[in-house]
Amino acid sequence: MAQTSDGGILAGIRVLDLADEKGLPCTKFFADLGADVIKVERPGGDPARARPPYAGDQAHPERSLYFLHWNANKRGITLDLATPDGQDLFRQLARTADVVIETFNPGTLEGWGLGYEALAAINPGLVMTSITVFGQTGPYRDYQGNELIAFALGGLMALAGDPGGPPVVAPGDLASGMASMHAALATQVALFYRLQSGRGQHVDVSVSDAAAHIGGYVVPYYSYHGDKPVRVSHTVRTFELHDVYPCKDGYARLFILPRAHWLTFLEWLGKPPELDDPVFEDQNMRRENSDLINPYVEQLCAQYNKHDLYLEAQARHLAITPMNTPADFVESEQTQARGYFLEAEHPVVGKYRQVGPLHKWSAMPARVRRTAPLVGEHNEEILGGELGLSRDELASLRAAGVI
Amino acid sequence: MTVLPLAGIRVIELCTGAAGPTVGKSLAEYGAEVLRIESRRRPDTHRGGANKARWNKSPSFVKLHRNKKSVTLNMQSERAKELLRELIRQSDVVTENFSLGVLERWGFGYEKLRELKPDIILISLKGLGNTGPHAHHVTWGPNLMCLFGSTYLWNQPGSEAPTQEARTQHPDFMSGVAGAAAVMAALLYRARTGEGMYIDGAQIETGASLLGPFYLDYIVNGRVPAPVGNRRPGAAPHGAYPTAGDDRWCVISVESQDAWRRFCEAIGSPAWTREERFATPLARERNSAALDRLVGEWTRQYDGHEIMARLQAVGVAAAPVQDVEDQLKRDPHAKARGLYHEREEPEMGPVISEYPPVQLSETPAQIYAHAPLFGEHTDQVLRDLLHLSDAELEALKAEGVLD
Repeated sequence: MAQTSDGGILAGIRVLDLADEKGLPCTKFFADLGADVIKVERPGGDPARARPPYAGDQAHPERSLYFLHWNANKRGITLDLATPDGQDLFRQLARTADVVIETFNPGTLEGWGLGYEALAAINPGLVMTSITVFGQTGPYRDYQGNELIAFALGGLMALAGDPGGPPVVAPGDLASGMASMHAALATQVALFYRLQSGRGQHVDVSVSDAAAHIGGYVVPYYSYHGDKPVRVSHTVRTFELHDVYPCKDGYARLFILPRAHWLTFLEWLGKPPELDDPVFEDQNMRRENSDLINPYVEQLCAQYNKHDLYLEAQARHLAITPMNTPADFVESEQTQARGYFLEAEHPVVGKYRQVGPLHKWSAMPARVRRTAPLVGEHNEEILGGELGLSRDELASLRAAGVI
Repeated sequence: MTVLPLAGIRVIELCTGAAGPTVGKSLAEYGAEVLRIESRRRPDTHRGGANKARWNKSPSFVKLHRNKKSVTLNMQSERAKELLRELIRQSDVVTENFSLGVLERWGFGYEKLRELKPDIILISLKGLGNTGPHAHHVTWGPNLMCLFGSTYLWNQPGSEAPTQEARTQHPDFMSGVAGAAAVMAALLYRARTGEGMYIDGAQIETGASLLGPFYLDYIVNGRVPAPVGNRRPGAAPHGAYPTAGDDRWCVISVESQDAWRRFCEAIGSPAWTREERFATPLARERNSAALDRLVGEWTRQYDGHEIMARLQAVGVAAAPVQDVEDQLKRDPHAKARGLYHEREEPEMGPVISEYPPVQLSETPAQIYAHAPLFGEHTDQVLRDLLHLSDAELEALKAEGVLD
């Protein structure tokens, strides 16, 4: 059924990956842990291959760094699921697969005879995980949407940006990321339950529902206290609550919450008489008197580069961190020591560094088994080798645009 | 009541804050029995810290700890440590997110846990992980967002403000759910091999994985990527637009020429929509500033929910930017999907928290119990699992072992 196990945590589990951006972090989770993930793309290549940035800024289906990041450790085939032959081949693969992860609009797979009911009939143990903007049920089920739409409904976007200006969506498709993590969890819960029951399930994940989970404690707080948070300006700083202060070469965030930390910080500031008052040991008082505290903080931060301030502060056990650019994070000594980026070599892009698995595992060393597949790279191996199609048959399917 | 898929799995939660507890919460929702070990000598910040009156009245605690059991053990006491060892012998998973070295100093590092239960699964979920030169640093969620580049990227291109980030701590929730997914992988591995696992997670690494393409732009192309704001390649109009009301917004996303035609019709085909400079997708992207202004003049007249209804009716992606009141009172879709769960908390009355964004077809998640009162289950657990008599319990309490 699956490729030979090589010690991966999820070795032996086959995943058919039909996912777009809404489910890519979920599929990466499985792939990085050694599951046999087969990316099923439409002939010519998945639309994700058109998403920038590109290696060397050359737009090309094999040079999308977005595609490379999300699709390492997978094999790839092409299938046009809108054709009878494509559907038939997919059904054959589904017969022996453990998981299908898909992100089509609700009803699409059903229309192709590949919905959960149809596939469960031929493989009762199959777990199908569908990640869509609104989910498979509900009044918005057939609405149009994407990350921006989902994020806006979740409550957090209303708190992003400066009052009077447009709210800004979080970077990195955050709502889809949250949905994908829940999908990875729930899919495995279904696999775990299958050990007892022998049956799979349909796992229905909604990105707009997931967006509501990113917003912190706003919902329970509002339901209990009746207070609604409002947007606050980023240019008028509130001490110790998220705002960033200018350093010589950038910005830093000061998160001085516990009383002990405030006292240490006060010491570092040289105990200015204005602030050296027990009343400021209450964090609410500090928040309300930001106008008083800010000038001292600004003065301190202005003396340091952001990274030096970070290390000085941490030596005093204070939660002060630099506002890193993506480059700063890559170059950070902590990131390097953790081995977060693993050496890899891709046939077209060449040598680069790939983000590895999310965690470190006692039973599995972190490594890149393979880089993202080229378009249709494993058609021979899987459609030929496993499903038994001959070279001539593969050629015919290719000519007909099915693969 | 339907079956809970993780019934029979027991988790010992040695966590504070939010990320670690979100692992336990996510597993408890699928039926794992989560024993949260707490102490009145070191009350969690989410219980209100030293403020006893708040211990059972905290909305954030409710969100993080519904379904769990609270067992108080004074970890300064050798007897309490013995009791904890006995509980671990009967458990499947231990979760922890203490500062570096604390768990080991208490005598509960992975090797010690394996002596108690050879197939134990331990997940450690610290901000920066258990290894590396900065592993001892003090960080909260918002610090992590700063460190991995989210704060820097969550901005409009060319903005004067350093960031437009919302005040939240999404790495806490993302890494908690990802941690639960990791535990599930370990449970599946255990079912296959009989072996346990040590999982070393860094909260920062889950959040960072969503920004992979940005890091690759630096690694491969040598550039420091700029924030993209609300832009999406190939979509115009796309972004946030002002609506009727004070600081109220909607989002609209038009991703095809077909959708553009339907959008123009839905807004009454004003003359400006026929201008050459908006005639094609490329033209619209080039002139997006002017386009956004004109779209904003239309949206300004209406309420965000109205705009959603009108545009979605013709297949154009749109949604209101909802605040928490909208989420709870004006979102029929979230209501139909049961996203917001209201339950009586013993000392608070009704509090709402979010149900997972997932519907499993046969064994759905459930919120079946209120957030535990401080030490609510100490007696019950010690009686049921360790068979302590009432006399023994009284003696332990008198010695302060169960504080």
